[in-house]
Amino acid sequence: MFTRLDYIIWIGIIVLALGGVLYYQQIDVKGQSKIEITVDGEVYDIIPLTRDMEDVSREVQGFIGTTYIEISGSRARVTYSDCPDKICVHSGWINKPGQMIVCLPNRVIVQMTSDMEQDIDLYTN
Amino acid sequence: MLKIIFKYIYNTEGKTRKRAVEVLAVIFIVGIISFTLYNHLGDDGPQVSSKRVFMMDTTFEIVLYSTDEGQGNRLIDEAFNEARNLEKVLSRFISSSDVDRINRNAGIEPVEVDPVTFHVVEKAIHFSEISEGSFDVTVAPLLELWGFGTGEHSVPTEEEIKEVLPLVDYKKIEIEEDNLTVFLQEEGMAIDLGGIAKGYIVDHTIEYLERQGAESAFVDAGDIRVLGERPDETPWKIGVRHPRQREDLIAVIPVSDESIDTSGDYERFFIEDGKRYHHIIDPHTGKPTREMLSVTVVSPDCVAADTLSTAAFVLGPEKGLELLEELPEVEGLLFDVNEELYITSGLKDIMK
Repeated sequence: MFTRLDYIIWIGIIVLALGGVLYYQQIDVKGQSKIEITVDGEVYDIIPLTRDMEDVSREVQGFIGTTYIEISGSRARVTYSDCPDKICVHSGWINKPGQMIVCLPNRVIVQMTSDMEQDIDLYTN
Repeated sequence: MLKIIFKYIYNTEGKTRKRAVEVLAVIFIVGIISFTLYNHLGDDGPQVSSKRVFMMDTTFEIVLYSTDEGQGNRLIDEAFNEARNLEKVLSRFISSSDVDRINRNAGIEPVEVDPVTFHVVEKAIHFSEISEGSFDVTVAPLLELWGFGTGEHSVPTEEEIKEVLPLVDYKKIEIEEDNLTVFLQEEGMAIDLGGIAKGYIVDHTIEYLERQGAESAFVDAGDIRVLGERPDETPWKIGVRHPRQREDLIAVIPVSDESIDTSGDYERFFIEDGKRYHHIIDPHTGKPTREMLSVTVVSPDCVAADTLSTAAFVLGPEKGLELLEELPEVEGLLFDVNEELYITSGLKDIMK
């Protein structure tokens, strides 16, 4: 009764479990992140992400109109934009450092960054 | 996932031996899952204990990583007791202190001091010699003349400086190890162990923590010394602030089992007739130097970092860099008035 299929399933389960372990550790190292909003290359706002932060929304005046940004539960998305193609809105949520939402027509970039300064223990004066 | 496991256990009508294999496999899987949960829920890794007090005219912070927070806190309290005992002996501002008696008896007679004071004076003379007087432990009368310490800042005349300059010379300190005496040869001479004593106390505190078994800790009293590495087994990262734009960094330096200290012209200064005068006075000219903004030194102990950063600041970028390169186990980063960085070769390799 213990067929080849059984073994494959068991191995699959073990791989999933080990994968879970590694994934958890990955999250642990990530540390604290920020959402950085830029308009036409200029920094408009930087919002540090904390564990129990309240939801944040921003209305950003861009090149052709307004972009609405929502930050909720350590992730960010564009809820509405005056741009014609709405690619930014369709991008959905970003939740990892390095990810970004770009609205080319409105020249708005929403980026999640993990600041180097977060990794500093002490400052010398 | 549990569903699958149960399904397989109950669908197996075959031999019990095979059933047993499956049960073992289930135990194995459950083991992995509980191990994962344990790792992330039960054990938050090393625990941090920390405390900050006011001492030596500054804040004095100890941060310690250990497996037991309560024990860590107790150890920190003990370390603070050690530090306070040392402070009593060394502080210049406590009237009964050795330093005060040494200064009051300048030009009069040798003063017998505590072995600790003697040791610090010895160290101060040692670094004055190494830097050929660019750091000079007898600079106190000059600081007084410029009003640093008293708070009444004023630019002295050339004559006034000329009068005081002969009082600033570490070679005029006589020490006798057998009797533990210190003697300043001329009346009006004075030593100030303020900066060096702070470094000495930080050194002593870290060494105490190490003797008590601590493996990962740091003390920050302006002078910084770290013990071991961070709990994640990487070096501690020290941000060096820009001397003018204080929220900006000019460098990030990784250190482990080392000290780091910065001398800067922004720490204490006053402005007279639109000109800025800072507290790092060249013992040879009697005036604040004008070449540097800040010097950061990394070395095995705080006393070295403290005195050598002052010395390199006074020497200026080229000679300062030369001094730091010459000394073993010493690295540094010099930032001059043109906002140019000079970095010792050993530090260049490890900095980002």
